Amino acid sequence: MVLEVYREKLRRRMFFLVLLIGIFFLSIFLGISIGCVDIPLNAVWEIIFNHYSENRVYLVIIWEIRIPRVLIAAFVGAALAVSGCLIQSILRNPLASPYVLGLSSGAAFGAALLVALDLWLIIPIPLSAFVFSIIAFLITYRIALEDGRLPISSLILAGMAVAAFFSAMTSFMMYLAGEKLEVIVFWLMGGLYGLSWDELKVVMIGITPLLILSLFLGKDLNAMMLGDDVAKSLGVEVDKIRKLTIVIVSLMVAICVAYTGPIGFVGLMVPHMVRFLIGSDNRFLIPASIFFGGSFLVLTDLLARTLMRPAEIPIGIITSLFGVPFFIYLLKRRKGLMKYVA
Amino acid sequence: MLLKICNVTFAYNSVDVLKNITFEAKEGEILGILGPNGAGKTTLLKCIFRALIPKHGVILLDGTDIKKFSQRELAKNMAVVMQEDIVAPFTVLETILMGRYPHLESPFKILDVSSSKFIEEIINMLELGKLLDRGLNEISGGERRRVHIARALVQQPKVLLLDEPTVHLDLNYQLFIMEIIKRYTISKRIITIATFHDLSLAVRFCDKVILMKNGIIFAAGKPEEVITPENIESVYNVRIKVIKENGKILAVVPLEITRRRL
Repeated sequence: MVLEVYREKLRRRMFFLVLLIGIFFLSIFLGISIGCVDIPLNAVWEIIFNHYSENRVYLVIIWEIRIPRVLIAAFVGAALAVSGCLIQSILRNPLASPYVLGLSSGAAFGAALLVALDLWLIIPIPLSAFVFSIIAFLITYRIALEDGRLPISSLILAGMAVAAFFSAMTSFMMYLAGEKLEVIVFWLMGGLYGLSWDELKVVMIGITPLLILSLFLGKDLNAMMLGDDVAKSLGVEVDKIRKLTIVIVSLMVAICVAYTGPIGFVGLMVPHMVRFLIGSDNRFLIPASIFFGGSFLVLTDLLARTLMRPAEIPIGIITSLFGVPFFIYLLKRRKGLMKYVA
Repeated sequence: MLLKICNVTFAYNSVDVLKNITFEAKEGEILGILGPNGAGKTTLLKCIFRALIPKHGVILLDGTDIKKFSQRELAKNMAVVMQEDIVAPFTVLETILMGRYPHLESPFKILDVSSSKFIEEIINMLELGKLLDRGLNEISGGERRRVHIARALVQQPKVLLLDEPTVHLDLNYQLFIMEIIKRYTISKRIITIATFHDLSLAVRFCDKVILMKNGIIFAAGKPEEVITPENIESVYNVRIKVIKENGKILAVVPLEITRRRL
């Protein structure tokens, strides 16, 4: 009896997951179809599936600009949302975002350093941002490590300290940058500009295996939310799983931030939105976040580039501006929503 | 089924918190661990389920050193309820079902159907049927305690470890929970080890107790032999009166402090 009701609930969660996957692919299609230049749907269709169009301009816009950009948005959205889930579970803190480990601050410094030293035309900004993001993470990790373990409180405090340090260094670079300040400020706002198939390949190859790996962590993360001791008694190798999770999050976020700059809201708020819809069981939350996060960033990016076209609004502004009302709606309705799915 | 703790010494930052602890726990019996705050009761419990690794000594479950078990094998044998009130964003049912985690073969398996009857029995036994859809944050502390006990029982352990199972509970719940644990221990022939602050409750439900002081076992044996005014005064520095009825201890009443603990 009891478990029959539960199984019905699981079925509904599965259905919801399938629905999210549908929305995900629909968002991608919308993202590719709509943009600054109006292109008829049948032409879009033909380019996507046959890579052919009589209109050369359409072909370039869809194939060389929109497809890579939209797919990168999908991967980055998925990665940030999942990272948020993972980090909130691992730190047992709903206020944590993947940036608490100092990753975005390190990346920002990496970008600002290049601009300030006038090296950004020689060394690509994403490379420097990635390297410094990883350096920031390694410092955080090293500071937090105590007798081979990563206690939660040390991890949060170490992350905050490293973030503060790199933020100060970034400010210093901005102070030195003079008239190039604008370049740094623009990068810090985050965005999906000038991305091509080359970047898409890196993002895809880097992030896909990490997303798949994160799907295996759901059960262990659930147990770890009951505390380290209970998790151990439930068969979880707590120290190993925590380290693995932190490494997955860092790599994913470092790749994202390197190409798009620090995009806010997704890593912190999207996991909560998904929780309102599907509950806190990480075995559902993680896959749901992949597709919800992906759809969310694709659609917000669509707004960012079409609301004031031909001008583009930095996406960080849109994610919060449109995400917050949606978040409030879900927050207020969560009891009702939970009845159906979670 | 026999759990042997042999010469276990544990140190936090090179200070020995447990010194040469040796005892046995048998199936079908509740073993109580008593002692003042800081005596090492919880530390001892954590060593038994390997949340902490002792500096010296071994812990044998039916002759097998628990170090040889994988974390999951160990979880199939031992379940734990800690004394902290754990609130996580899960529903009551989700939390209870976590007890099945060590028995699930793949990370994607959500439920093993074969155990459903058994799970339902435990839910009914702990009277949690009406709370299953509530969030852990929406129920009382006493209800949460029952949820975590259900989670541990659903795990089908051979050894059940309870860190102050009755702390913060009202009189009714204290007896209710201890009676369930007593019955379950006897009927399933498991080993139950629990720490207690309430001596009356320990006397009433434990088959054997060990009395700890500063990381050593001060006395061990049947409750009536261990909980004597002399022993309690040396360990707690409190004078007590033992009230007996028909030769059995009914209550342990604290009278006065004989020396302030420093």
